[in-house]
Amino acid sequence: MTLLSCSKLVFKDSKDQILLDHVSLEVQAGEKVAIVGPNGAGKSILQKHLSGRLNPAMGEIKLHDKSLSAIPPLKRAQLMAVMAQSEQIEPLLSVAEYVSLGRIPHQHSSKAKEDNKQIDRAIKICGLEKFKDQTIQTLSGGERQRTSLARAIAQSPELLLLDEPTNHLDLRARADILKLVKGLPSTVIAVLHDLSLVHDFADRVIVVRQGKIISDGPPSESLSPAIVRDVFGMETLDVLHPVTGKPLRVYEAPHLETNIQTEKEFTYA
Amino acid sequence: MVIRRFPFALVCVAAGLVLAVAMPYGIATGSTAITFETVIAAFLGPDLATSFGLEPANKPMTKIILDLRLPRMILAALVGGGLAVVGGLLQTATRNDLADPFLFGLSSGAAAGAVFVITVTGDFLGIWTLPIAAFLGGLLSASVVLILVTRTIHTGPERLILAGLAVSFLFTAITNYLVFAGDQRAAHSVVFWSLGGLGLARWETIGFAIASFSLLMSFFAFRRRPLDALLAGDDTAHSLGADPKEIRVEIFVVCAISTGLFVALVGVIGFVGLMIPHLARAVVGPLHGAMLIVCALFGAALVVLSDIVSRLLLAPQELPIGVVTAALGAIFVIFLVTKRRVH
Repeated sequence: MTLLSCSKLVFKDSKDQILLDHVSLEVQAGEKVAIVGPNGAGKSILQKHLSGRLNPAMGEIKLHDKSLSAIPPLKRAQLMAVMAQSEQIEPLLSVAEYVSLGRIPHQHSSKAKEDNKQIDRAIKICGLEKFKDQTIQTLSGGERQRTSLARAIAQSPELLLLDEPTNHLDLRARADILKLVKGLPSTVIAVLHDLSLVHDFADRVIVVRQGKIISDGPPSESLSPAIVRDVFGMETLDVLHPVTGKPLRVYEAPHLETNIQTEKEFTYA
Repeated sequence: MVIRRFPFALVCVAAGLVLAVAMPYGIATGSTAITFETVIAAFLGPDLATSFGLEPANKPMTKIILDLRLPRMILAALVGGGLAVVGGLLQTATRNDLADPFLFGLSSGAAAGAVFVITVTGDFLGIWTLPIAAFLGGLLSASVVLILVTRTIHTGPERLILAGLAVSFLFTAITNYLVFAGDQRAAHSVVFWSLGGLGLARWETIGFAIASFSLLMSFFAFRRRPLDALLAGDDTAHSLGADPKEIRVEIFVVCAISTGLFVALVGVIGFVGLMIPHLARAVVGPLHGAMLIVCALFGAALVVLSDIVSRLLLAPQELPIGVVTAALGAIFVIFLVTKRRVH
């Protein structure tokens, strides 16, 4: 079942630069999709269109076969939750209070008992029980991201949009948050920066460059060595884990070490 | 670190008790000292008072109590509560700790309106002239700020602070020019509008304060949840089904009208709208359902108490109430500066 689709999206900035160039895609219910691309490729802009935050100059976005712009805001918020990038959250909110904001879209249709159940569930899924009564300002980066995710989960959406959820996180926290998202029943579309995290998380990868979709498919196809070299300027090395035998992907910048050596040889010659 | 919050109901009862004691005390205090028994007797009327064994209040006393001091205390509570709610709304809208009701240059606009009437046109509408002129002046300055802000709103709420500052300077310049060029009487009026006072409280005008306060409270009742959504940041607020830009414009318009009405009645009572929301947030948390009600109660208590202090400090002379609230406010801002806030 197609949950979200967009066709021929075009977006230009105030200087008339094209940031999205006829982007079309379809997302099926239950998919875990990663959107990747170099800086300035238009990933976040695309995500902001899919969430309805920005309106396209041309093209249409459909959620459940209905035009996104025609869906009333509260109804839209019941179907789709967004974890935005680096938000300025009121620092005096407690974790539980912040997560409870996720119930705002259900204010007319849900009872307080159901709200509390969803809030508690989201806090539990994200492992935030012991932070419940702490204020946002006392949390670390990773805890804050998990709190943000808990708020989105409390919204009980069918579709979850994440904009660089691993930003500013250390290695462990990055892996933890994506594992958490991977285990959710919702459909997820995540803009990701770190290619090495994509393989474990996504069953489909969309590569974007200069506002265009370059490839769209399972990670092994979408992130083929040729595409990675072309779009990201990186070399890839596929190896097997010596213990588990699981395929591993290593990304490295091309010939960096050789260049440095040459320079050294040149200087000391 | 676990935060310490106080139960909402307990906070409301405590603030309600303070008001319940302070308001009768405020009625009994002033240039004419009145005993509590007389106050009660005046409320009961001569017949009931005698049947309760109290000496009935004489005519002038009854007049002072019922026609001057009672409306004064009610006005103090309404204005204090209202200004604190406005401050709470504006701090949410701008996400700025220093936002307060006079952000829109309302104070300087109101002063300019009043001084314009005194120096140029005269009291052509009787006792209504000054309040109306002050209201229109305040609304004019607020409109200029709002137009500036709505044209630049996508560049961030901090623009409001800059626009307010600029418009404030402009209207202060106009006021100062009018004072220097014309009637020296106007200088006294500037003091009233910039420092505030409840001396003009009458039953005839209290309806405007009630209207202004009701406007704020009904806005709060209908828009409480979208207001909460703003606390999560603009993108998240949008994803929760709220339109941040739309709510901001609504807040600004409601606050400008309410503050304009308050200023026309009592001048500028500063710092109430700055201090109280911070206290309320610290006590019951930032969610608006509890926070704004506590703002209303604390603000009412603060202005009622400040009015009593302003009448006692230099008795029988009356100190402008703004002097009292400014002194408290200065101490509070110093406290705010030394307290570190992590964003």
